[in-house]
Amino acid sequence: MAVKFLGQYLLERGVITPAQLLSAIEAQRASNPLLGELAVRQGLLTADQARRINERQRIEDRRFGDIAMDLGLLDAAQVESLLAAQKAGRKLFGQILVEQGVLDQATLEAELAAHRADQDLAQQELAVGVNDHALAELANGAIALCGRLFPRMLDSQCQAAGLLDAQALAAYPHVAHVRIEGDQPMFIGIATDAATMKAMVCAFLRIGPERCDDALAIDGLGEIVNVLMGYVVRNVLPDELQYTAFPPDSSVPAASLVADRERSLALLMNSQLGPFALLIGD
Amino acid sequence: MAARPTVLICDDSRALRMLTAGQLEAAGFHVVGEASNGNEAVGQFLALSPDIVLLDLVMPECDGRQALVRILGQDPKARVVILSSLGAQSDIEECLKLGARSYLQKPIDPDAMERVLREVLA
Repeated sequence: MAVKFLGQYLLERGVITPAQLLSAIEAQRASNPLLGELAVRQGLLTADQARRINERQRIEDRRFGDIAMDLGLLDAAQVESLLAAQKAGRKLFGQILVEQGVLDQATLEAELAAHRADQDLAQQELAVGVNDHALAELANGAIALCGRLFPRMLDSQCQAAGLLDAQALAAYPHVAHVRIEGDQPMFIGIATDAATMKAMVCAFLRIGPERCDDALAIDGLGEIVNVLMGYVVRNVLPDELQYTAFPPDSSVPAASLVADRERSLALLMNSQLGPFALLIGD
Repeated sequence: MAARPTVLICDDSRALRMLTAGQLEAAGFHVVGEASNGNEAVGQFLALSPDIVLLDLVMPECDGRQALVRILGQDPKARVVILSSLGAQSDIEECLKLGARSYLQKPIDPDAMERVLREVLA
């Protein structure tokens, strides 16, 4: 059983159609502005200032408000006010489905309860699978980083959904990984299908799909993994570590990278850009 | 209107060149060329005479260190800024001793890049 976003869960159960899912996602995005968008709307920041802070967020694992204060662009009171406005205006996905007439309230509540029960079980299975592993600390750190990094870097939510075996990895033939050698050798990789890879790279480079050929897609995937490894090194590994990083490598199949299951993990990750495998090993 | 400083980007990753070019243009620089390996980097430098060269250390067909030596051999006043990957401190120190003006660590922080390039130009 895998952890799933509510929309994905309802779609797979046939409760909503793909068109209804897309419409609700767009409505949710419109009603849940990012802090930067709110700040520009309220005249607290210019669009250029908000863009600068967002760019910085793509590199640093820090909140928008904290970076804005560091740059002297907002003060603490303004950040608090923006956060309160963001929270007040926030709409839940299920709420939007009801407002759009896709579901009635009773059906929504029943589906939410079923989703919650499924997700609790899936989370437990995932936790057991990861926490029993020798690389549990690294894996949990990498999962948390993806959860924070993807919205900033790729404008997409992301969550761990389950563990993948070698057979399941065949669905994700496009792979890039970055290895570090030294005090604590390790690698991080992403394996995915062609459509998800292109979606990720287009989001990363902020280009349209017509500008993303296959070579750029695999190259871009490598750069995304490079950024992820940078965060892992800075946030998960000990500060005093001595290491050397190698350039992204897209020549090794996912199944080969994680062949030794005692020293590696393949995690299924769900994102709004598509599913992918997060590969971790030493 | 003052001319924008010109930059040559040398990195074997097309994605990184694309990302960096966008950030540079937004910061008021003009990207006059790109190179995907050390040999191209030297050739483009000679052809374009950019104000600044952004030079990745790890590239095929002549790495960044060798390209740096060749570029400075042609023009000792060339402003070369090294792009380094994680954990490459000893490589950075060597390149600075060889004459590189500064360095940027990947993933590149656009604000840090602008600051470093403006300092190098000053």
